[in-house]
Amino acid sequence: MAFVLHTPETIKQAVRLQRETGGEYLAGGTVLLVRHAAKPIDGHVISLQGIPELKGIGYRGPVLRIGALTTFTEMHKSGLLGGHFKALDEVSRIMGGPQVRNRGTLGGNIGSNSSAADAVTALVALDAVIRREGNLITCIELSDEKVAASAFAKVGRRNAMAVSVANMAVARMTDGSYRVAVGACAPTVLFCQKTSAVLSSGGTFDEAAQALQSEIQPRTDRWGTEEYRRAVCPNLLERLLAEVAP
Amino acid sequence: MGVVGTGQARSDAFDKVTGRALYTDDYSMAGQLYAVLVRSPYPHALIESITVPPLGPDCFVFTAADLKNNYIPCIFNDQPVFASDKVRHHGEPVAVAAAPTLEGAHALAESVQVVYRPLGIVDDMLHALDDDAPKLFEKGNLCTEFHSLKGDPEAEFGACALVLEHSYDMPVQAHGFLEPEAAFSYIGDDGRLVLISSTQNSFGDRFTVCNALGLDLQSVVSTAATVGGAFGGKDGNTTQIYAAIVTHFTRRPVRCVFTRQENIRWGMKRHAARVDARAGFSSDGHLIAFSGHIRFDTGAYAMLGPSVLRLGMEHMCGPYFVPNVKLDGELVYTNHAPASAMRGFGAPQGAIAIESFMNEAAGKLGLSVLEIRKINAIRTGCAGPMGGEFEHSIGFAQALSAFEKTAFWDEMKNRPLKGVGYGVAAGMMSSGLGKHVPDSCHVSIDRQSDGSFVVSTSLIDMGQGSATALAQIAADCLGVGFGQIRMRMGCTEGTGDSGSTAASRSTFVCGNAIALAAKKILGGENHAEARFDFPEAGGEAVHTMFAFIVQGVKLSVDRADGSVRLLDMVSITDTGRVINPTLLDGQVFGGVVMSCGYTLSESIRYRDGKSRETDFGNYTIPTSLDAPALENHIVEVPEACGPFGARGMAECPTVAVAPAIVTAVRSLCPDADISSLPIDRYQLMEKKHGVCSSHT
Repeated sequence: MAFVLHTPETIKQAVRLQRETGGEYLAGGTVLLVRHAAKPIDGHVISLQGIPELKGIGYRGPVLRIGALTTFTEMHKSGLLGGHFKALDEVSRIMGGPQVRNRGTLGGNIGSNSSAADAVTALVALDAVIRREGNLITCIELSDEKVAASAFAKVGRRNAMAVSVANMAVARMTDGSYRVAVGACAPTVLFCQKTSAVLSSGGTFDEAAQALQSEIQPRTDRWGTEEYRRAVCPNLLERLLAEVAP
Repeated sequence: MGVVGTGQARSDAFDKVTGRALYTDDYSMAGQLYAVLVRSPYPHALIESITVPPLGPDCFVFTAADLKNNYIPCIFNDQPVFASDKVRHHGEPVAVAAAPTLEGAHALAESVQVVYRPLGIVDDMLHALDDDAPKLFEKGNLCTEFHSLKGDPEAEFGACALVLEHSYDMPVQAHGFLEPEAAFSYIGDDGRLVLISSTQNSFGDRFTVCNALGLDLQSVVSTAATVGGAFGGKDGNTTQIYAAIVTHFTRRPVRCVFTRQENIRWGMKRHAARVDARAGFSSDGHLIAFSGHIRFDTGAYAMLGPSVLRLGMEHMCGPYFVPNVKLDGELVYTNHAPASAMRGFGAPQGAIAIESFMNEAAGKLGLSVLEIRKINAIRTGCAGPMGGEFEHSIGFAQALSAFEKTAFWDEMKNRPLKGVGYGVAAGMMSSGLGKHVPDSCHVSIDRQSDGSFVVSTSLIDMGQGSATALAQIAADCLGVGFGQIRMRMGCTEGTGDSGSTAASRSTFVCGNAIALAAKKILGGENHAEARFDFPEAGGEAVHTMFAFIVQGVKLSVDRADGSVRLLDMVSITDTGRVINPTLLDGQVFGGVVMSCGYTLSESIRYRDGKSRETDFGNYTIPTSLDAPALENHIVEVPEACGPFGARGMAECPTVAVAPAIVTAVRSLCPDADISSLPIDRYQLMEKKHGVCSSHT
């Protein structure tokens, strides 16, 4: 076996190539290339860089459509994520460092399959729709009609180039309900159903914090301890609720 | 007008920013091999057998059996080049594999079959000397110890108005140099082995190679390439011996460059330490008695640990006169990767105790943090903590006075901002290798046909800028412009052995040697050589010359997540006459940021004898977004025997940063128990919302 690079020009070609070769998709490369830094790639890689359909950010009616290959820098610079989609704008502004934001893509962040993926936490809170063809993420849709306000916060061991020890996004929806999502505190990014329900039904903050503690499943790992994560989550919730308050 | 005292731009700046400078990894030659180490997967194990598979063409494997002497010369000579009967740390080299491609060398290394019998491990230095601890060496796990007593501290503590006591656990720190360890070697046209490496000591490397291979010293030429940072972590063998072994036996050019993972997991480190200290003050703020105990984790081998221990003990009382001092230290073996030299060389581990005591005592005795330091500040002629006396110039009191005039101090004293913590600490750091270690510098100066001069020394510019500072000294000594001087540094050819570029010594010891040689040139010679010996400390003291620093930090703490935001850091540095204020600022700022990481985010943690940290993604050095705004001021108290009055200072800025930050954090989080670094954010958080009650 050797390194074989495919450069499809359409989504259909990409999906077919992946099915035929079992290769890995390459979006911005910030995960794939780092993973292969020590050992050369041995197998098929399907680069998505040459597929125009996967790029771009813009409104179709009340729906903001973000192509999976849109970089974080492009998202932040678009100016379209201010206002009620602020949670995703904040991710686009602070995740990784400048180099990662210039290369890394929204679709790639989802596809990286990490429970600490900052964008995923924001997308869960924002009740985003993820569109795909076959096993390829093609675009992400956010709706003006759903979200009234949102906010995101992360805790890392330093202020840039830091894996999240915990991250959280809170969205206040147009119907008055709340959506809370937490990252790096469970095996996956977690939609905190009970916490969201408590907040949506007008429960107190203490009740919400209790619900949050019952939902998260933090563990101690190299980035942080379980006790730290249990302590920081309610503090983040309190801060983000203040940010999204009407 | 001379150039000494000006911010002369670095002579290497243009080559570095244009990519013209040649680092070790930039060298390549036709027919070269790549060398990769076969490393132990166990932290502690007996080696039962090593089997090398049948080798293809251009493939080579060498082990201890190929060597004349299987040890790396250092203080105790306890470290083998290749483990042969026993491995004592995870990643310890067992063999070197070489092939024409890097991938081929990795595959070859993986094909070497080593059968191990795993042993119990020492994973916690606090238990290294327990009766039931597995033994790394037959003699046990005590590498060396240190004891010193002056006066009668135990009796005096009883008479003190205030006695403070605290213990600290200090982390393993990595140097974090940008260029990993690297060596390139080949057989030169004259048949001699040429070693080009990223190193702090070319002569030391030559000796290491010749000792292992049984070669006479004249058959090896060792030289430093452009070095991308060292900070002590390239003071000794890293890659050099492995490249040289392969070249020696194959007669081929060889490149050996560590990956970042090898650097983080198995490169040299700053010693983890357990510090127990006690200080007694009189009611008027005089420090009457001090007792300190330090245990350092040297890992599997001594390397420079015995010297680090001694220097750490010597600096434990800080820049203060104390009449009664008891110092005890232990250097213990564990199954961790070996620690050795790192900027500060044992001083930062102890400084956190004495500096925190000073700040606490000031508060309890109604003095300002500068007043209490002025009361106790050492001055020239003061007795040292281990006997002997401080013989050279000391500008510590002047630095404290200068600090009093800063806008920082005015704000801290008179109009502190709400929610902002302020912390002040001071430090001193010796210059020179210390008593009983040969400490000389050889220099030669050659007048060129165009009237310019070549100045040669084996000391190395690792990035600290000494090529520029030394050329400034040479230019002024010779009465010519800066552009008329070319420095040739870091080679075993041309001048005598000037030892390791370490211990904040280059500017002082080499500057003096340049001045001596320049005198001969001015007397009419076209070629002049000179040697300068570092003055030796009197009495029981190990070091005799010091730089001083006073530092203040301003920060805030986010109580929601326990993170510390560093706002400003002000330093006042006394290093005698300053040769180049711009380079000095660079040293101070670099040392400060390095120590901000030590205090807040950096730590190599071992689990089952293996480093959990593997690269710069998880070993988190500060980024530019984590660094405070930096400011440095100087006080110049000239040193009579220094070149133009200079003393060395490269390590000094690493000593007092941690206690300054810890003090400022304590002021905002009085309930936090900060007894270990990096500061545990959990300690600084507000914990309110059912954190302990609701889960399960």
